Amino acid sequence: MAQTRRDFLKRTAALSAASFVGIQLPFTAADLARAADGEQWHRGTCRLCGVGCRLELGVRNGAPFALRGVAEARTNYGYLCMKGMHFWKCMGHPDRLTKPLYRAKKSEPFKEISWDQALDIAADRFAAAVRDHGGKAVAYYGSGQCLTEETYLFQKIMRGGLKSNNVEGNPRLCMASAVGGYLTSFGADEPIGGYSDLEQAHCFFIIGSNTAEAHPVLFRRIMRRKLDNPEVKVINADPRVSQTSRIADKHLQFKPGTDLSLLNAMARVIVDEKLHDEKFIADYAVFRQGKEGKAVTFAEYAQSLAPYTPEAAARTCGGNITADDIRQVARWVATSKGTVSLWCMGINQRKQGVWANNLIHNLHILTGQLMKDGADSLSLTGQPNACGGVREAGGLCHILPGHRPVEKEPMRRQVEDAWGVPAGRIPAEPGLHTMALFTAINEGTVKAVWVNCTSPAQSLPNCDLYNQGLAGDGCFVVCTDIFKTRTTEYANLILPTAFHFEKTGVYGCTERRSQLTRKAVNAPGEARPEVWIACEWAKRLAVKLDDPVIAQCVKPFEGLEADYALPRAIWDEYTQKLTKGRDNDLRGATYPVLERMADGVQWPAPTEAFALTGGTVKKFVKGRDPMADSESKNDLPYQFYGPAHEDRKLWVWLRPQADPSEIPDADYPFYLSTGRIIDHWHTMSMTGRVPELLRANPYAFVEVNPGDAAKLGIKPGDMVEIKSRRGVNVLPAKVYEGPMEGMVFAYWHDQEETRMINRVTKDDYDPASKEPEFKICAVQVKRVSGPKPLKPFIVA
Amino acid sequence: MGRRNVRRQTRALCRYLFVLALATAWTAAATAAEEKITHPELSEQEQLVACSECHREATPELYTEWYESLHGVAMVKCYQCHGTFETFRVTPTRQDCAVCHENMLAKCPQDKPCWQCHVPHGFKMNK
Amino acid sequence: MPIGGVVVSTRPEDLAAAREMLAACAGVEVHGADDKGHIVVVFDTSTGEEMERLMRDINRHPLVLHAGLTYLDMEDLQAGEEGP
Repeated sequence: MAQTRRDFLKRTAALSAASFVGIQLPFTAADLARAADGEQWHRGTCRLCGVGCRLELGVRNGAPFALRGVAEARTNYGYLCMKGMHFWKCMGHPDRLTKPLYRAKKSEPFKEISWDQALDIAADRFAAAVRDHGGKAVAYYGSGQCLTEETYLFQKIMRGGLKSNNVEGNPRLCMASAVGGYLTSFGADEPIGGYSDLEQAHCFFIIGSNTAEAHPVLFRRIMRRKLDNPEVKVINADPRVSQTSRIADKHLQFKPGTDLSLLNAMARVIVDEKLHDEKFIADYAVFRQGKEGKAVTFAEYAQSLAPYTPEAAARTCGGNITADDIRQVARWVATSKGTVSLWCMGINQRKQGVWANNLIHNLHILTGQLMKDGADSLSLTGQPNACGGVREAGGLCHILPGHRPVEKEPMRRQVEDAWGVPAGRIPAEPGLHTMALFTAINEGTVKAVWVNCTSPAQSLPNCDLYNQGLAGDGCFVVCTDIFKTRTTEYANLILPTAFHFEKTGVYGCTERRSQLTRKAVNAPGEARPEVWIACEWAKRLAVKLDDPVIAQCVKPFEGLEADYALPRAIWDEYTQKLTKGRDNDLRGATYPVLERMADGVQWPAPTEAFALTGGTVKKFVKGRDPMADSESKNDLPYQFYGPAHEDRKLWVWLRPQADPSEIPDADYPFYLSTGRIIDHWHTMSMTGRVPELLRANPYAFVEVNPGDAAKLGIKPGDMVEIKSRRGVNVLPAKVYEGPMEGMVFAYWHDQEETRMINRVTKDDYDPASKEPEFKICAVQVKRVSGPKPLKPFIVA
Repeated sequence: MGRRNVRRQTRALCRYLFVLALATAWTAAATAAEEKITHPELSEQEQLVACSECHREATPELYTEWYESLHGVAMVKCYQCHGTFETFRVTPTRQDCAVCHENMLAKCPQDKPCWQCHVPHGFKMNK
Repeated sequence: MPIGGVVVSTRPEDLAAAREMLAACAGVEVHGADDKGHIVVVFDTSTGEEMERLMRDINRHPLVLHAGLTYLDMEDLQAGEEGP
């Protein structure tokens, strides 16, 4: 039921009181009447990927029945992919978790308990761990799919309350290298431009991204741009031929991990052929090298490119790359009227992820393909709220809300002051990053972990290793989720949560755009919004630890009605107090403003007036970015005021080719890469429960190049064993190119244990960003049998 | 599911469709205008094959037309307009198009279905 | 199972403290406020007696100038509906 009779009456009561004193509430009598019967469409953001499509949930007689796109939204212009179209089917699904579940030992079956008992247990176990071992012994592992209000509130309780910086999230596994790249190249996280550059671009450089399947609606915009303007060039760089390649003028296939050479070689062509923008470089760029970021000259930079001749790079890259190809694409990128580069996991999920990001930014800095419309280096964010929640609101172990490094004392003071907690409350050292966290769980030093809206048991690389710790009774595991997953199998306490459109909150997508989704229907059973759960947990923690500061963390939100007033108050505190004056200033993006927008607000947006225009389309440009004006230090049109570069310059980094952590050898002769297909999302707990999507791709496949298949006797549909030094999968084969020879490609969505590819992947990670190298490891490939009738598997 | 199985199955499908076509032609005059067309029945295992896998062979021209169209390049798949087995419709309604093209529904003629002018599966305007 | 819509009036400088006090009361939901010291509140109690008691206690509280009931509904708890 969308609205119980009780809800209706309570809202009527509130309206009546409010009308006496002329106070506006977020709903009207007309809303209530409409909600009581008939068909209503409720505006919000898509629950899935990082594009941030705006859509409307159709509700009839209290139940959702459809989703449709919002034509005026500047993210998707009305388009939806099949996932955005169908996720409403998760809302009333019979598998929904509706009651808290608990077991003291993980070998016991779960018992249903009350919320009161559940919150008490959660507080008890975390309090005990903190009391005995300090804040280092507890952790929160969140998600780029949590609402910003949820991430912000949990990290406030952890840092200000439990004095723990062990706040992490699954964006560590996908976007950390992009964050590192933006910070080290531009001095500030997140793209300078955004989607509006797509319709003005004359050259697209798509590398390490299968945009057609991972960001389908953005792909449609690129496709349309290309089809309407055939002279626009599309370059697709990917060891694998994908659906994205269909629109490419040139598809570059290279051995996994050699793209650093390719990118350096492109830079070399640009410098050799004098295609670089000398004025732009002189005005805005410096050159840096090594761990210390030692300053070097342009001449030294050019010299460092000496080994990367197109011929040498073509040899290193192998695949189908020729020296002429490298020259051609470098010229296209450099000389087009506007070049947009787009990349995703192929570049980020790498041991050299930050370096690969830097090398893409280099091309744009060298050629001045930045700042103007149609030119940008646009990192595609995978999840709907990795940017808004985790990257911006303090959801990683080393950053506080508002892009503040936790290591800097003035930053901690600012946050402590804003929260009204004593100075010194937030620990000075960053907490454990994701891989270190799950290692600590294995080692027994983290005694309690709260896992929110994500499934690390399936999504961590080399997952079997970390599941050992999760499985043990040495670590108390709380999971907040809507369905059972591979991770809830290791939980002590499972708390049922409200799903999208069953609660209110903000998502911030790839292009710095914050968008609001309002509650439209009630959650089933006793499922509750996470913000309510967190408040209740904090209050109990305060009592058990006899620490009123923990209660202080949630005091501003006490007693607020959970559907709207509570998330709004949290958002107000975060934006008004924590983003004020920061580069992601969101003070103008209040709920009333967001509610008026078809699509939301791009930061920085310090005032409501500016936010109502849509916010900042291009960062750092005077006249277009209010902070470029307010932070201006000279007469130049571009002001790079980002918090990480004191010199306010763009940094071109010297980054050499370096091998991936594990490359094929005599024993394990194939590259394994992993990735996504369009019909499914992440671990399939949502999309696997939608019949349309499940049947389109019922299980994970392994793609085998026809040349390799012939040698190994593999026919389409055959069962194939993929084995690494860490684990084994047996997957049905698709035989096509697909991957280049010497490489296989597996989809990672499947929950079935013989088809869960993260049992095979390697957990080595980028030393700077700590993001694991999911994309490359070495495997054996062997035909096991002919086709078998397989069953899809979803944890029940 | 293996290629061989798909071929066997599509041959069976083709036979079924041929018989269906005959039966339909035979009974067309005799039956009422409203006739529910369902997807040929498949076992649960057979249902776990993407629409395009079978239809590439069962209805090759249609498949190619779709694959080469904007919908094909954009990966708008069969089930998005036609539903899955339990919800199957041979002829999508205006509401099916509205998921992405809602703004066009108000601008275009109200008295005909979208596909009369935007002919499937190429969807080029039928001028 | 009555539901009441109430305007609680306080001095503007007492607004924050009054909100805190109200939020801590069982059966009280805060829906909004203005800077003049008016707080929009919904009372949700099990019995009429409890509602009366709540009104009286809140009216007597030193921070509260006046609590006025603008709306009242007497509702029986139906089977299957959530309680407060």
